[in-house]
Amino acid sequence: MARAGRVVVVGAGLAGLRTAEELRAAGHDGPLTLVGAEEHLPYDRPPLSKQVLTGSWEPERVALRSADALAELSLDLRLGTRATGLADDAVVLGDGERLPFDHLVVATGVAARRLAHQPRHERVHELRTLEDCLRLQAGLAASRSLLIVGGGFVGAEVAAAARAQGLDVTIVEALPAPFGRVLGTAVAQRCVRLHRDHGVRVLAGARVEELRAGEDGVVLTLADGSVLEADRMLVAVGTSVDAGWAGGTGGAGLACDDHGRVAGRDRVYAVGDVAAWHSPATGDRERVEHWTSATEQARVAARALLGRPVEPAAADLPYFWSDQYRTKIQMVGRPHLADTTRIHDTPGGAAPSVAVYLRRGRLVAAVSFAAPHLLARLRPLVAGAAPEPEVRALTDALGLVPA
Amino acid sequence: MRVQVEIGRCEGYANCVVAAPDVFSLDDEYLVVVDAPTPGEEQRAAVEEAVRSCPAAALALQDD
Repeated sequence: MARAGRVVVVGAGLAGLRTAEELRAAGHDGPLTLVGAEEHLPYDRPPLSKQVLTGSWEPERVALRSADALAELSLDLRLGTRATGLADDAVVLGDGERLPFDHLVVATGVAARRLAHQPRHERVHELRTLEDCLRLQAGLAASRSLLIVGGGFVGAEVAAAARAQGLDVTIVEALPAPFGRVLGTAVAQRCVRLHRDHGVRVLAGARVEELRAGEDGVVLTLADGSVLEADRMLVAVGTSVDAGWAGGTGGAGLACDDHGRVAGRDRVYAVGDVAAWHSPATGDRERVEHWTSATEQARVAARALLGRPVEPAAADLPYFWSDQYRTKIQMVGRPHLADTTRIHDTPGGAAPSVAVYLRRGRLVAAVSFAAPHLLARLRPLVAGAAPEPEVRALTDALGLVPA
Repeated sequence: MRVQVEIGRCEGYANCVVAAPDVFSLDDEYLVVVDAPTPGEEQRAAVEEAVRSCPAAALALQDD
């Protein structure tokens, strides 16, 4: 095995931590530095809009590892430290220190995207970090109404948490269908229905003209002139990548091969939300902001960096889950590739339900509502691009009927 | 090797069932059931994948 020398991992979220662990597991016993911009030990983000926000988990439970488990990794752990520049053989830190490396892994993730003219105000929230989460949680407890700008999954989960606490909730989405960009129109309608059934007002095709916040509350003016008021507001309009310090341009993340090696650099890798890996399945570069992608990329990149054999990725398949109103929504595959979508329900038109996405008669994605066991059955068929009759045989066998 | 489950942590995502279908399944409440608590060596990669892919960190693999 080639010596990896000094390895620096920048980014102490899931992708960075897992990379450090995989490096140690694959035999790297040399110097290993983990640099994190936040002051916290590595923590997990999905629960921030789910279990922590609803209060079913104590915030401490988001810690990905105990201090003892981290100590076993023999890391040079630099928390509260931001990387600001990259030379051929060193990372430049915020305080000017140069951190020399033989191999570098960039795992700095993404930030919450902000709207143009978004005021910085105590009543205007975003949700990316643990502080954001705790601030929002306290804000919800002291409020009777919430406006959510952005019909994505973070907004949807916060809507569910806020409804559970009795707040009056409105989701404002610029596109014709909230959730439609990811799930397609037919399945997105199911999500909208879920929210409306729980008393959420969902406004689609609603463009924000102006956003104001004051001591008494927030005011949103839409392009059609209507005015919405609430006690507070969450802006959840996706994420932005800032990898400029590491040579990334235009918010596209860092272009990588299918082992995470950054294009044009021999000894620099990137993993997680910041990395746009080449996908053998689609032939394109994809930046996938999913939890399981980060864990898988960490394993592959760590082994590639050490010159160890890399087993093919267990599933080169996007996968995510969302918890809303005690309903688990799970997705596997690439719905945007589909030319046909079919929804299958439990007889009576209720959940558990699944949606199957087909392209030229082959399965490219599946989404489940309150049906983790069914998605588990469908996933191998998505991985194998199963033909429609095989998909139908399975949904029939599962006792589902076309919607 | 032995599969360890902290059942109080399980949130029923079923990622383990996907990774190692011969070892894990879900019960009627969508909580994990370990069908093979001491799986053979041929299951190691699959069980490691299951441990890795559990969003709730409910699983562990212990060597005897």
